[in-house]
Amino acid sequence: MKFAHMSDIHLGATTEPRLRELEISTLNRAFQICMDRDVDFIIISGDLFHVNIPDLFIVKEAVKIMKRFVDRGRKIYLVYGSHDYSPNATSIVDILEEAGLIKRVGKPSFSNGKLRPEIIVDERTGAMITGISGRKLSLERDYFRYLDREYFSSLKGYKIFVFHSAIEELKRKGEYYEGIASSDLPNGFDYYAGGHLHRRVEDPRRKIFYPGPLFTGWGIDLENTIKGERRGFFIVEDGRVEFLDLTPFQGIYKEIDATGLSAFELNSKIKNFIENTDVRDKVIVLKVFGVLSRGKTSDVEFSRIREEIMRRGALYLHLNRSQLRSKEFESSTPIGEDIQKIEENIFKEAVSNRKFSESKLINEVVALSRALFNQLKVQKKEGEREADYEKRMEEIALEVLGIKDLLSG
Amino acid sequence: MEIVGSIVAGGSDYLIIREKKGSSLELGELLAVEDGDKKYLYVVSSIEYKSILDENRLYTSAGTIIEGINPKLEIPEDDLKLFRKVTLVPLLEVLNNNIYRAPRSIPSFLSKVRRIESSDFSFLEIPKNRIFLGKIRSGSKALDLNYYMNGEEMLSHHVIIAAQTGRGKSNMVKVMLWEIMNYSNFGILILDVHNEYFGYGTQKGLKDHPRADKALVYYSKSPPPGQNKLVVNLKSIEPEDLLGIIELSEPQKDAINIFARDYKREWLKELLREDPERDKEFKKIHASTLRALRRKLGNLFRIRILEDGEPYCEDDVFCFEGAGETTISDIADALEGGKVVIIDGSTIPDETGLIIMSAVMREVFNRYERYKNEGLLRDKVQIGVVLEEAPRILGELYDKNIFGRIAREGRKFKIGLIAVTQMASVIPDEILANIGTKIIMGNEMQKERRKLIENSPQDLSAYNYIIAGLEKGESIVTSIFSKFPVPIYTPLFDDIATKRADKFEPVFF
Repeated sequence: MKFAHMSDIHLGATTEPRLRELEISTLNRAFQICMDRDVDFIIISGDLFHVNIPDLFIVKEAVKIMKRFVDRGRKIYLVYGSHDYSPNATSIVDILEEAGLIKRVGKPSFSNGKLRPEIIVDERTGAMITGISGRKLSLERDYFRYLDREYFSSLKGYKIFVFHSAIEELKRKGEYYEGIASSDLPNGFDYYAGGHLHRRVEDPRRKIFYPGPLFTGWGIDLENTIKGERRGFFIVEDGRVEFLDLTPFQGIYKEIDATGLSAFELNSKIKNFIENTDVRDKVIVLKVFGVLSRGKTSDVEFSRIREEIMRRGALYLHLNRSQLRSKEFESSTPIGEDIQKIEENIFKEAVSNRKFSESKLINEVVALSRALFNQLKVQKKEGEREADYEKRMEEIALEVLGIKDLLSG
Repeated sequence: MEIVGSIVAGGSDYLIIREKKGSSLELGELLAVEDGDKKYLYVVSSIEYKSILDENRLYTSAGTIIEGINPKLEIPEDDLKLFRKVTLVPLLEVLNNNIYRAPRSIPSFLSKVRRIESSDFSFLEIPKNRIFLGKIRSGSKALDLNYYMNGEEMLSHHVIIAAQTGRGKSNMVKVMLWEIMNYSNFGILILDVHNEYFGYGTQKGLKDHPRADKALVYYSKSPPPGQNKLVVNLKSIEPEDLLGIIELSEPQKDAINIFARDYKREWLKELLREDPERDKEFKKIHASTLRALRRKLGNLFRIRILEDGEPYCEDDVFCFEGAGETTISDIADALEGGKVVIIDGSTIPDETGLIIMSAVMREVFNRYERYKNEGLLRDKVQIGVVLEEAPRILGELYDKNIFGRIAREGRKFKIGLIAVTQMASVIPDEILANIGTKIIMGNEMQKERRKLIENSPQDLSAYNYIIAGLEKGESIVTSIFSKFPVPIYTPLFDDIATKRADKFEPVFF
């Protein structure tokens, strides 16, 4: 038996044309390797897409790639991730499943008050595959508490458990997330296919594996890739796990401390860096921080810098200037590494004057606020009555807050 | 009001009463004497026969009874010449406005003495941030009156729970923690060497608390579903965590310090990695010192050296990469959040568990020291660390480890020790003197009793036999925060947990 394990592909996360091309070509390379290596099936541990209804261009490209694999009589099994799951609307994952392109595993059913996610038996290999999908805010954590563990232990054969949850004890210094405990995973599986953690983890003792994202076109993931985190997926053959490195680009990470410099001097310093660096076909992450001694942050010619870097053949410039300040202007526009970070910073600022018994609660409030914010962006449908729209919004809000069941009694 | 005797002799140190026939007073029983607008509380410290008859007459009477020789020379049951003489030691003097203090006077001669009632303790107030210890006890009878201490005072000045095995030490700790979990206002860390606090299967434990999901965190090498796997990344262990836990020679300490200086968080991995060429560069470290250190640390952390010289963690409690990087700080976070954190020490060697505890308390100490400097300490919860059966840690090695530091300085930083031990006698006087509250349970060993009595905040010199006779669950609480030694009975944990499991409502208040 030979299978591939991918995760957190986040198709559609980037809107930069050149990065989008890379995103597609990376997916294509991964699937081509799977076909060349004749894997029996592919497992995707959630977040195949970045949102539940992504840009249709990326869907079309992904379908083309996946169809070639499926047409050879092979299967793609996946769970929802926290990004491509929607509590209230259909996800593109559901559409692709209806079309027979992918198969979602672990659909929940209950027996004697215990959760028994559906087990799918792969026809080619006889492998039994089940799992638990991810949900926003790691709400899936409660599902693990109700798992019928004895039932899973009693099953004989090669068993794979697919999940989209970070494991608490894998947390690194500086990482903040609410995950599951490894003891939440049911015992007796031959392979635990993890997703949601955006870095590679191999724990052969406990058979827990996270391949991390296949492609990282944004935010801190992009930075980490440039700093050396390898990106790819696993191929598992007769219990042996091999990591296939697909890191899609080379990059340069550069930090420039602007403390004590004038805006003019900073411009020169950045230009000097560009002139002395071979940026061709590379992703550049430029982090500029510190307090300018003279001039405004807007005096720094970031647009021209971007143009120049791109003119010199760079694939993409990721500019992080969230910690650049000017002495002349204390007030600052909320700037972050990406949209998510900007939103997070704004919410953090908003809750910072509240007193919480646990500092972790601040992160939860921020995460909840962001989830609400994202879900409530949904616009009124054409022809939808005002009252129906309001009701729909109310339902979304209750779902996100996790109190829908509570209120309905 | 049951009169049990009358004062016939004594003074400010003790009183002698003649016992009313049939009263059946027992050691440790509490008695009250009301005298005008004052009330005095006493404890029975000894009981003996007394007769004002001629001794020969008594012997003759006893002989006729046991030998069955007529005519019997019996003594009538209501003969006033035979009685029991009971010695009482003073406990308290209560003024009519409910102010209480150590006695400064004695009641009138021939005053009547009665048994105590719950209402005699109406002067006791339920303190802020209370910790429930048990019910006030008179002899072997528990009164319907709960005894609480101010948790912040009690924990910040340390607690020792001392008893022989089987007298209810663990039960006492579990009952305290059960109540603490109701309010989440104390962070308590426990290394559970017998894995008896969390509970498993149908055995009751803190897991059965209605607020367990919010107030309890459990780490184990083999956790039940949903609980935390105990895995500690060796990057989070610092040299000082080993000091006072394992014995290290001066050259070994120097070697550790050199590696810590050069390799920072990777010091342990690099120290254990066998690289002869690199090792030669450390001219100040003798090769035999390195070998001995590697053997010692390798055994401690269950690390094997692979053929290529790389160290490999055989036991999954410790690791070099991948997992457990935040375990120490996560536990510190939980303690700061007012949670009870149990580390299952039953499946790991004692020293391993103590090193993890040491690392956690070092992290907590550093944080609280910082909070104090920043003026934020007042808003932080009081932290307590339960040290079970660790006489060495508080004994010969106390001046080197973090626990000794907590014993000496913890009160300034809202961090306290709860030492649970059978062997109080091996704890140095300096540490014992720093422990503000002593919960003394039954102990037949004279040496142990003497040590505790000598180091008690109140004078317990008359309690020697009372302590020897304490039954399971019975104890005497003597504290710098209490004006008298308080006899209590701590209910069985299983009864509390079962009652709570049926219906969630406070049992004791």
